[in-house]
Amino acid sequence: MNSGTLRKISHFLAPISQPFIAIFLALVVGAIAIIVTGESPFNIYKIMVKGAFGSEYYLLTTLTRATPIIITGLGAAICWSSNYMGIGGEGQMIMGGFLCAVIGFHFPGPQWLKLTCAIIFSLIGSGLYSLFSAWLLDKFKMSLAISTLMLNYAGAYIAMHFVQNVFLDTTGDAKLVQTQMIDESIRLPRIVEGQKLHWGFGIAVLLVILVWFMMNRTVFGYESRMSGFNIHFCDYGGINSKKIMYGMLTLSGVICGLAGVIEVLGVNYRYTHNTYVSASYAWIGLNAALISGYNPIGIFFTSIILAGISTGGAAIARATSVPLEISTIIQGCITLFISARIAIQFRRRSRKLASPAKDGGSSGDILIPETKGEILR
Amino acid sequence: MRNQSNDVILRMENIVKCYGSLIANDNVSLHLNRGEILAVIGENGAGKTTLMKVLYGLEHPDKGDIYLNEKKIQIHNAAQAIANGIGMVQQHFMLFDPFTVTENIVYGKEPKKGLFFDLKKANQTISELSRKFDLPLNPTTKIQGMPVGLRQRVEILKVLYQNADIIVFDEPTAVLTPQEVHELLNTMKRLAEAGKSIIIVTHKLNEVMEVADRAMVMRLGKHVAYRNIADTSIEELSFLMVGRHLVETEIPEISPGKDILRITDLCLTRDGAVPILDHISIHVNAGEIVGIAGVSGNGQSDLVQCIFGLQKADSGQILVNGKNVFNCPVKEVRHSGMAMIPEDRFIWGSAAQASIAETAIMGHYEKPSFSKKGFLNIRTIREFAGKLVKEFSVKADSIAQKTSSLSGGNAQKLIVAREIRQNTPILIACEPTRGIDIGAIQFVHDCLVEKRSEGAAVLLVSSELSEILKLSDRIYVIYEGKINGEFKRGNVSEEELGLLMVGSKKL
Repeated sequence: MNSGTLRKISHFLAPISQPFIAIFLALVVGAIAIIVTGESPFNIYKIMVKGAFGSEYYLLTTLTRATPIIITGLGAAICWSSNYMGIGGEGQMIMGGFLCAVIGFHFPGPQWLKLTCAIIFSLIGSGLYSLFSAWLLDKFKMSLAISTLMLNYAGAYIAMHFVQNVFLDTTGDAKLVQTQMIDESIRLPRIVEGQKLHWGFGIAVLLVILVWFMMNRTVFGYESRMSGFNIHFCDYGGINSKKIMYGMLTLSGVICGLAGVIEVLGVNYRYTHNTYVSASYAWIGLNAALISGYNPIGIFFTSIILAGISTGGAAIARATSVPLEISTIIQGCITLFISARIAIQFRRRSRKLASPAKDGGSSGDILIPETKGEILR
Repeated sequence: MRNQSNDVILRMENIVKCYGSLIANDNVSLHLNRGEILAVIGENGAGKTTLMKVLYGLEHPDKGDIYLNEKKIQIHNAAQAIANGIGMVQQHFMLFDPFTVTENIVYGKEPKKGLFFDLKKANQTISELSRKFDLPLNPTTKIQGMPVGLRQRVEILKVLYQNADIIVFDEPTAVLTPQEVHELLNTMKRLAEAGKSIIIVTHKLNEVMEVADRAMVMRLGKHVAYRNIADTSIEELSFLMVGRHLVETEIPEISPGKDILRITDLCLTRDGAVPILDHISIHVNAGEIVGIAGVSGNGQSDLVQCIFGLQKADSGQILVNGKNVFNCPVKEVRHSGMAMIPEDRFIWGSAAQASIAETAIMGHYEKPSFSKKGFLNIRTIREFAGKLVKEFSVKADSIAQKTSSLSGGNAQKLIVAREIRQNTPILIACEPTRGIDIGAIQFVHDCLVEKRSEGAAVLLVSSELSEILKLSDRIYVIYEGKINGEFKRGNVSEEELGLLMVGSKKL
């Protein structure tokens, strides 16, 4: 009887524990890498935590960095949870940022009009960019993973081409491929004066709540979650699964585009070639979504941890002889261990499909990875 | 009577097997005499299959011993079981379609000439074997296109080729027509006479009465009784299996009303040529259960999918209360007044990872009490799901648990509950009792009859003939996508249906 209670507890903890195990194992691998460089891992990790969360400045920097990660994470989560595994967050974010910067500067009329049009058109643009992949999947059965991945490159170079040849900022002496800065009056205000953190973070928090609500309390969210669980069940229930696919992928594009918009309005005030790619916001966002099983609230906290690893890594590089790459190693390992978890579930699933449960047994996990939506649970 | 000696060939002693907190086998013991047919019977979930898996080396018992000829043996995998002379005819055949009978049988134990596979010798061996045990088969035919009964024969020959003395049949008659069942039972008797010892795992008691010498009854993971078939009756065995007496479903007399569902000339071809459905014309009246009998794979699934809008048909007409819903999307078909219990509860009927409540509101959630303007009303949804679970006695701790945690029977009850509560004038039930226990079968049957009493039209598609015969007011027989006969209740026997199901023309 005691084992029963224990089992219940472990059953409850199992889905939560997996991301922690992944992060822990990644830290262990990171520790080995640190020992190789001849430093003490405890010491380094202490500096890292301090550099990420240790003071107001560091904390707010981490939160600033977490903002686009949270938003792209939410964008990835909604399409992945309905079983459309798009990885085009980066391209969509670039589209959003690029259009916002260009329209925000070049659109005729007063500043408020520039701002409104910049936001509206860049969100439409990034949404359409994602819709294109959905259309390719629907009409030509083109793998979503491939089309979205390729469109990341296409997006980056389309933006580069236009920035380089049409909208290049020639006023400064920097040799960067970037647009001109938008007007100060339409920038996102800072939350704390003198610090980097801007109200985009507030928008991200709001979005977490909205996405949670959408997934768990609306008909569209119910339909898309069911389509993620079992598409046959949806067809049978009368859900138009194509509508779900187009809707979810477009919405996901809009959300990822918003990440770009907020980076422009709150951090850089312009679009600079390669910034989103080199910071790999969208990929870390996807990571956060996977780690937290597409749970928006989980994504919020995971994104902050992952952003902390980046800013903490920078702190280590400044203070010690351990290179910046240590944080890349840790993040890479988290991805690795999380995807190992997916692989395990894939194996379990195929085994179950191979030997259908008899004697009234339950069927296997139909979907990967495990989702922990809140609805009705 | 067969020349069964009382010498014990196999003993399984105190087998215990747990899956997590579930005790599938709780101190189960079994003995098998040489040359006898032992039936292991019990409801789904009673632990029969687990016990056989232990015997065949597919599962490892937590406790317990196996003795073969009074010598203790260890069976770690199927290969060892085969080496010890234990063979199993699986419920799901494991055959390679593009290969011949011989190639399938000798696979893994091929006769060789030097380094090469000696096909001629193999064919010869197989035809000898098939003659010896009177199991006629052409060794050079390909498996592709073979009827299920013959495939099973290949499986039996495979076991014999492996020199098995003990042959386990796991639910062997589930997929067979009455004629094929008859043949199989005869085959078993012949094998037993030839000195093989046979275990048949089943829940079909009339077959047990016909073929077995002894029966071992299992319930909830324990063996509850042994009976000599000569000294028992179906009633006693069913009481031992279920633990209570079952009350037969009563089907009240009602005169059917007008035709609510009328299908005319429904046609479907695959790849533009192969006909799947060939001018199907059927109708179902109000207050009527209409059964569609047929060996599975004769177009039943496609028929239902075409009716329900899950598949586009080529031509035809589907009238629901006079309104044509031919090739309409599922949502429109559902709105026109149709609900369906799908043939596979975990592929179509539910989502394993969804909660019970989420599974329960599929098809319902757009009703105004559950959602307004696209927002779900969680409170009424929970109430509704809770009520379904209670009213239809679905065994579950809470509506928040995953659907996959339900047993097959309980998941089926949930789906039946959901579709009945759609309160539609038409209900299609596909294989509504496949793989669920007797108690749940009874329950589902009662639900269908009640639906009929309420004046609904029920279309029952089932490969279980006894179910069709018991419930249907009218029966259509389907064979290769064509309707091959129509009967009123009581005007046809099981044998006649069986013949029509395999394509013989009108009697």
